[in-house]
Amino acid sequence: MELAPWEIWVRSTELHLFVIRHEWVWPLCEILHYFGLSLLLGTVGLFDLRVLGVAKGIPPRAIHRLIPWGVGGYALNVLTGIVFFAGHPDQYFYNNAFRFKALFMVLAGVNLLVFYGTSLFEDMKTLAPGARAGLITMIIAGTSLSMWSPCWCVAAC
Amino acid sequence: MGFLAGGSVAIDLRIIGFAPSIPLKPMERFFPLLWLALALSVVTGILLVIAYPTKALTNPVFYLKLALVVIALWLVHRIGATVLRAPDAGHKAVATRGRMLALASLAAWTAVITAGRLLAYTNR
Repeated sequence: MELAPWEIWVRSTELHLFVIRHEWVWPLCEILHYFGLSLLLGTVGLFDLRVLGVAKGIPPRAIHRLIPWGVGGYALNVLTGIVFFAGHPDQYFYNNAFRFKALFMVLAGVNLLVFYGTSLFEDMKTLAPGARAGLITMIIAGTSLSMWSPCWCVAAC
Repeated sequence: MGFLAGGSVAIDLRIIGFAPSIPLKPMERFFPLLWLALALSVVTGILLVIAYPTKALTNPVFYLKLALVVIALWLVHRIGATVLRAPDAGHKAVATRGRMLALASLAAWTAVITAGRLLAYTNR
């Protein structure tokens, strides 16, 4: 089977050659990737759970302060993800499990935009400890949990 | 396991001193969910060992990972029992002992993740 032009290009990059030539790159990136997803799931997860009503004693805007760690985890995963893709592009591009994961990521991204791009984010900041979040905010939190979690479920396939 | 480790790491970060506006005591309410994540990990882990017994049981790294998981879980339990339940657990800085536990917890989960990933490369 002939390689598509984009794949020929990826396989010609320095990054691809680096990954292929050094055995330690892949396992190291896997470890970092898992750590990044733990940071993301942990921080975003705890925030979403608070919005959904768990640990109401915590004011949402306080626990939101952990989110930058999750963003850091996400950034780490984008970088390691690029390494993976550069190393074995066909393993991902033609893989339905990976395509599902990409879809979940896009949906999580849209959900994110809805939250931060509207007044819902500011409203969340005003919630006192013990207060219930509004229904739409809860739906967004539930969607967030449902979109990020399968990302790794699917990736494990 | 990602949520179990991640949730635990998030709590550890708070104990160490990041995001200090988070009140410590209510974080205990997250624990039942961490234990639920653990239960899921145990169930799926058992299924994996049943499916590929030789690959797991003949690999010393697998036993190392299990030992590290036990240590990490014990630390989570200790943090819940002491740091989060301390009578003065409020907005002020956590005592050094508590922070040491949190640091140890961070190290333990990192070790679990490392062992878990290296499992795939060390079976004969």
